[in-house]
Amino acid sequence: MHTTSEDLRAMELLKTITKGKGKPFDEWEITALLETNGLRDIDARNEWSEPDLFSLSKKLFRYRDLLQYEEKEKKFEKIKLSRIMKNYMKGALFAFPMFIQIMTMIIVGFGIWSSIEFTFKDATAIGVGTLFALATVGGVSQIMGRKGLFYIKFEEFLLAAQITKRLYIIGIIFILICSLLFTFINFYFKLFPLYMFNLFISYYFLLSLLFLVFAIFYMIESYGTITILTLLGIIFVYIFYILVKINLFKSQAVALIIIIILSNILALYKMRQLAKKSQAEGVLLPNAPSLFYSLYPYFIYGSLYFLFLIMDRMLAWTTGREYLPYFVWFNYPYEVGVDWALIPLILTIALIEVFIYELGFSAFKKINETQAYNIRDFNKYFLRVYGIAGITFFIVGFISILSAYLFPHIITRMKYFFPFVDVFFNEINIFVFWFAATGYILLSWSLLNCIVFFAYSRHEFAIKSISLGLITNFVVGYFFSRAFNYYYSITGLTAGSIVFALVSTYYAYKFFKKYDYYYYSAY
Amino acid sequence: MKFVTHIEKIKVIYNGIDTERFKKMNVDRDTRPTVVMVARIDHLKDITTYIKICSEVKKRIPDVLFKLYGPVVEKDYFEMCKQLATELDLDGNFRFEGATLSPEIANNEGDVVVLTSISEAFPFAVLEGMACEKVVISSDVGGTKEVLEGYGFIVKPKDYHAFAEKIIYILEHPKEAAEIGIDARQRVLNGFRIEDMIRNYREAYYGSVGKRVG
Repeated sequence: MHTTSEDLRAMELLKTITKGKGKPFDEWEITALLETNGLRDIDARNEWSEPDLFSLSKKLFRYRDLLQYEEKEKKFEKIKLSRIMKNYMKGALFAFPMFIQIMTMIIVGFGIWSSIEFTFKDATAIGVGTLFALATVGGVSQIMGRKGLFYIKFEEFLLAAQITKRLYIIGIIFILICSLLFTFINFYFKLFPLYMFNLFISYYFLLSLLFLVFAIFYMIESYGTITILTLLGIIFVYIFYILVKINLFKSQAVALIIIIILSNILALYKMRQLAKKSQAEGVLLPNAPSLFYSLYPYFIYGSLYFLFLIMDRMLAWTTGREYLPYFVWFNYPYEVGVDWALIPLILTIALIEVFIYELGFSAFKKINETQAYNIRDFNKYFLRVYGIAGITFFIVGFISILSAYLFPHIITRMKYFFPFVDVFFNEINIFVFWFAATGYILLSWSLLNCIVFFAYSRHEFAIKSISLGLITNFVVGYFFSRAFNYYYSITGLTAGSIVFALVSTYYAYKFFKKYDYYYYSAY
Repeated sequence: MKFVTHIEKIKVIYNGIDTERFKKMNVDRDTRPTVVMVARIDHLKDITTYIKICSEVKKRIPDVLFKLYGPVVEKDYFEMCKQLATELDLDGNFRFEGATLSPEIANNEGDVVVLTSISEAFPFAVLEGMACEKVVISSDVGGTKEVLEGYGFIVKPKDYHAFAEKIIYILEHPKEAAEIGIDARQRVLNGFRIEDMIRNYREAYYGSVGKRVG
């Protein structure tokens, strides 16, 4: 072919616009490249005698195979075991503070807000305080995690810091209002005697503040900080109670106050650091009504989730079959059973981190590789990934339940180190353990589904699933605990988790079947 | 083409800005003739052209000051820009001001607002400059022309000579610049406010389900 100066000019232009982009796929890509290189229709007319950029791209396309292109940078790694392990550890660290609390109960007999020495009266007041604190902070933590993380992922660090501060203040106001409300209710209805109410409200207030500030660390994925602060809290209780010999309530309260102050200072520092990192352009948060509109589903979900978690205990503690001095009464074997079942939960919940990361990672990779007419294969691939995740989840779940069951049997041989291990060996808590552990594995699977729904702005799937689960939890738990014995309320948690898992899996199946649609309509 | 839509189904909804925030203000500013650009440091914003414009304008107006407000998005590109500014001996004339939380103040620090992007959709920076009663000189990309034509200047992307020519003209004709600035703000007030954008979206959504805006 004879090369004219016009050919050389066209090839030079093609070379300029494809620099660093690799070989163009078609004319449309060339048009886009021309546009992003600042060429206009008027330039196509004046400088290339073509009516517009589209016809100029057709002209350039003819030279496509005559040029040599640099290989496109290969940005995508393959699935790596090291990455999976790293994310699993990160996920496990998320739940590690729970594990520390369980272990210290067995080793020293107390935690930051628990103790084997509490009387039923004390434990009831403190237990109810803890559950109410979880339910109060649940909704706010959920929206903090959602919105804060949303801005962090988009590198809008300033907005992330601002929204966190705003939600934190809302959380504090909410806690204060609830505290006042509980005080009024108790004043008028005399649900607890003064001694128990004082314990209840003190622990409720302090734990709400602690959980709220911990939600900030969860949001910035600073799980290590929570672990260290939890350990520090236990050390403080140990110092005040064992070494200084102050009574246990005061020791725990002072330790909680110190940890809350430390956490707040640290959170403030971390938020300042976050705001300083900001290089993005956004400076203004959405106004209150639009924030409310976008966040209220997360608040509802967060509150329903914590209600789901505490429902069985509330039912067990309020079973009025045997004599109860108050409307609610704590029960040790039951509590040990559900806490024991947290061990398999920790082991499986860590898988969520792995799956969510791998899903995001491979979705981004596949989107870049898939042509529009291969959508079906794209969706099929992710249905398969979801299936593999499900199988892995239940294998790990099964193994972790067995390991957790054997755990006290093993450590009982080292009784010197674990003097309080006998709390595990009781018929009721073994019964509770099996039901709770099964329920928790199904619950963590359902949580995984819901995190996927939230990541793609399909909160209605999550709310419908958890609502049905919660209703089942209540109905079954209420019926069995009243018909047989108080600890049968745990069957509610298991049945609720089965329903939650089934409904959310149904939605997840629907979701991955049309993943391309949900992917692109997510924002 | 496999995926097509009919042109009559396409309706353009322009971005809108807060015209109470972006308006003419008395700010603490340099007394030197000043040109401002608010854009992140990213090759799509073509900062190198902005630096070259500065060099051209300096030949005619030696004490001119070019300010660039915006975060660094591409670090290598930022290094290249700094090197170019040094090579062109612009140390006293060109300032990288970093990210700003107050673009309305940044715009009011200038006599002219510039945008050199090689690709845009419908840039807020142009609207914001116009709303501050500044003469905006922008590259002819995306829908910029649809708001700026007749109320500022449109220049071929990367053509730093043409940019410099317009800037020099404006800096040397302050009275004319003030008149263009007033017209530019009026232009924004007539259809490019947040309120206009919301109304247009509302009409589009209601229209798509066959309802009238109530």
